[in-house]
Amino acid sequence: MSQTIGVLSIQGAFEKHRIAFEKLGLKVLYVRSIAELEKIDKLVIPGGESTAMVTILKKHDLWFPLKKFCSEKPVFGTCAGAILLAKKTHGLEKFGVDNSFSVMDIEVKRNSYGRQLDSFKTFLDIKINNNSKKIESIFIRAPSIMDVDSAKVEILASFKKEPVFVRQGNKLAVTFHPELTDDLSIHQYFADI
Amino acid sequence: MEKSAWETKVGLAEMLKGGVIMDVVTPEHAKIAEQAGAVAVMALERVPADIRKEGGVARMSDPKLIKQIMETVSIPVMAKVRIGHFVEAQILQHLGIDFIDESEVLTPADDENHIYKFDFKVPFVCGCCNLGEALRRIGEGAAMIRTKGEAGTGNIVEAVRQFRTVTREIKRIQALEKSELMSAAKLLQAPFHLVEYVHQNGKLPVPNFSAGGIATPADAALMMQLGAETVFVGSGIFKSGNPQKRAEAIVSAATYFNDPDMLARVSEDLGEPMTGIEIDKLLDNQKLANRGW
Repeated sequence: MSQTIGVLSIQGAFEKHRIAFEKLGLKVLYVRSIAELEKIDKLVIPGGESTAMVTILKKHDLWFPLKKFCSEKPVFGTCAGAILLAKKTHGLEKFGVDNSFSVMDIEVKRNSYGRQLDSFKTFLDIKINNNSKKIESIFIRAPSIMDVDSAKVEILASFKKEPVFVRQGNKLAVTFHPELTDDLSIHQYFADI
Repeated sequence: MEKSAWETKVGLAEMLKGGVIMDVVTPEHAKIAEQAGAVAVMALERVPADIRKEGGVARMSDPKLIKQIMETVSIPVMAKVRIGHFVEAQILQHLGIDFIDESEVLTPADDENHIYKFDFKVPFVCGCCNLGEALRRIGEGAAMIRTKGEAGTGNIVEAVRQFRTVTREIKRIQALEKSELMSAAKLLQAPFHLVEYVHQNGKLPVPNFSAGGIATPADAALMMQLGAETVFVGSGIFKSGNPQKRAEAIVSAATYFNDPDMLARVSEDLGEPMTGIEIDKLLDNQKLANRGW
């Protein structure tokens, strides 16, 4: 059965995710409305500014439909998307208690490495399907995963002993930007979930 | 680990796509912009409409103001330097600014050269009126390009003309034979390798945003439908009757630029827009878009 990958396109790196999944031969739909959400099998929440995304989602009544989707279906969050999947967040307090979709048992801090001058690229070992692979990874004003519930969350890559790529059931969270490099392993991994 | 790589510079521009970058002159403005859903703010002392009105030499803003704005919001903060003024850029980089706009809105410091932007760790955005100018700026290291429009006029006509010009020139380069590219580079006065990139990819090698004259949600959506990936709004928000409401409406318009129902709803009851200026009422030396070489 062919699947449709939705990319939340409120703001951010949605185009690069679309291109990555299309290279894998998958059907991709930009998601900006409830009607579009109903047409997809899996959702990607891209990087961008988490404050802008939360503001717009709440204003246009997409918050709760998305929260419901994320609790049930496969979801892949990168950077700002990873923050939105976390049960505990730091840096979105102004939105009150309900400031993320709370579907992964991880604790994430926004802009954890500093401002843009502290953005960096590096090579990381990622573990996919018991195979280890070195990939280029780009961190931009990136969040960090400060803590995970190790009984529920699998760590697939770390940087300086902190998890940067994790899986819990059918959810993936990545604090860097696999959509900005040519390696499609993580996108393929999500497509196979 | 490598900081300030080309990929991290262009990467930040990628993260700003589909959003709105707002000019702010106080920390209070910055707060309103962030709450409205801006993806970044441009910290400056005077919005372009006031620079136009008051005249005189417009320079980089007071570092104190920039620092206050950086402390107030958690989204990226940009600031402007004069064309060619690499020392203003060194100062902004030292402050830890997230993006520098080498901007025609300020009075140029060098009437022949722009800043060699590869020397800097912080990414730069530059304005352009056409493809040749865009590629020259990218050739010097700009990680993001925007139209200049005609800042501070509240008039979208120049941004539209410039954006259409860039798009048309990209299509023309795409359609050429490889053997015609050198001649095209000569005419565009653009680096050959970037002309080759445009020929192969049909787009600029960095994100392509729009600025200059955006005053309404419809203006923002117009630029997005023409292909702009994000919009800068300068005087249009804080020179209007109800900045907060207009800021939120323009943010919605940048996301839902293809949805007339949404655009109609967010355009309702926004109060007074900024007063506009007709471009042909400006003398040539009052046109900021003519600055840049």
